[in-house]
Amino acid sequence: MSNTDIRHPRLRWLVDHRDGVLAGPRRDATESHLRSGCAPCEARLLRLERMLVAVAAGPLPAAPAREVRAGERLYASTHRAAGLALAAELDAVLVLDQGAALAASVRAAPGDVRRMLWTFGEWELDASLIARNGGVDVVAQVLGPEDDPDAVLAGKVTAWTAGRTVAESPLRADGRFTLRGLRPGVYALRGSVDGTRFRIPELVVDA
Amino acid sequence: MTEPGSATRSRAAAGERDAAWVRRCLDGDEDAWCELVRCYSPLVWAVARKRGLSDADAADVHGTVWRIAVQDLTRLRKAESVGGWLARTADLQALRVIRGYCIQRRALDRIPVREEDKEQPSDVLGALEDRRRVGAALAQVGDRCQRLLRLLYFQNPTPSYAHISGALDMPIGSIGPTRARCLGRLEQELGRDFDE
Repeated sequence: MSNTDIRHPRLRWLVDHRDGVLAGPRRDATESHLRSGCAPCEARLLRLERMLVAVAAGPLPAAPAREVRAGERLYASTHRAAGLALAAELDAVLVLDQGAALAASVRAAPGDVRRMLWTFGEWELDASLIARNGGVDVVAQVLGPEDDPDAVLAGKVTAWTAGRTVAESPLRADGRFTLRGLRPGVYALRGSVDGTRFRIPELVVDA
Repeated sequence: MTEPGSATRSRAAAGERDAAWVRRCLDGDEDAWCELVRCYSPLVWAVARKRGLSDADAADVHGTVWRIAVQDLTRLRKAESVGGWLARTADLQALRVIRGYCIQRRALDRIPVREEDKEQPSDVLGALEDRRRVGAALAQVGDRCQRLLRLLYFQNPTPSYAHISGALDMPIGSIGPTRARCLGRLEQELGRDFDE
C-alpha cells in the first residue's frame, strides 16, 4: 500500500493507542491504518515506545562531581605528559577602561556603565559592565580582524571565580554575548571564538 | 498532517555535535574535552553501576574510561559515535573489574563465575544511552512539558488526571492534547539520531 495517498494518524492518536486509551472511530481508523502496514507509522510507534520507556526509567544518575572533575583534568595532564601543546590561550590585553562611558555600538541600556576594551591576537572584545540590582551584567561583543558584517562567529565565554564557573554565554553569530548577574568580586573570563581561545585574567567587579 | 518522521531539527544532530567535539579535542581544545566529559560521564557511570559495581569500583572504571578516551580519540573511526564507544569501553572495563572479583573468589572459595560475568547485552547499553538522550532532550522541551511527561510516565503509580491538573494548574481536558504536543516536541528534539 502506498503511504503517499493516506492520512496518517495524529501523534495523539498513536500515543493513546500505545497507552490503550484510544476509543471509538479513532481507534478503528488508527488500528486499521496500522494493520495496513504503514512503515512510517510503525517506525514512529517504535520511536515513541523507546522515548516513553526512557522517560519512565528516569534520568541517568549523575557521576560524582569529583570523578567528573578528575576526568576533565586528564586532558591537560595527558597532553603535557606527551609534550603536546594545547591550543594556545591568548591573554587579552586591556586597552581601554572608561568609567561611565557608553558602548553604544554594543547596546544601550539604563544603569551605571563602565566600558572596557581588550585585544587578543587580532581580535577585540568590547564590553560594557552595567550595574543592575546589586550585580553587574557584562554585555559585550567580540570583533574579528576583518570588518565583515556578514561574518558568522561561533564560541562561548565563561566567567570564573574561586575555581568554578559562575556565568556562561554562547557567542551569537555577530559575536555578542552577555554574562548576567556577576556579584562584586574578582573574575577570570575565558572564552573561544572560531577556534581562538582567550583569557582575561582579572576582571574586578566593583560593589 | 505532518508525515511521520519528517520533523526537522532545530539544532545540529547530536552525532554532528559529538564529531565536532572530537575534532576540537584533537585540535587541542580543552574546553571541548570538558564538554565531552560532562555530557557522557553519567552514561559511563551508569554502565558501571548497571554491572553492580560499588561506587569505588565505578569510580575506577570511570577514570579508566576517560584515560583510554584521551589516548585513543585519534584512533576513533566514527567520531559521531563516540557515545556508544564510551559505553562499550565502560562495559568492558566493568567486566574486567568483575572478572577480577571472580578470580579472587575462585582462588579463595572456589565459587564459580557469576552469572553477571557475561557481556552486557547491547540493548542494555542502548537503553542507558536512550535515557541519556531523552534526559537531554527533555531539558530542551520546557519545564511544563518536562513535568507533565514525568508525571504521566515516570511516576509510579501514575497520578490521576485530577492530581496532574492541580499540580500543573492545567485543565483536565488539556492534559491529553498537551501530552501529545510535548511528545511531538520531544520527538523533534531527539530527531534523526533516535532512529539509529
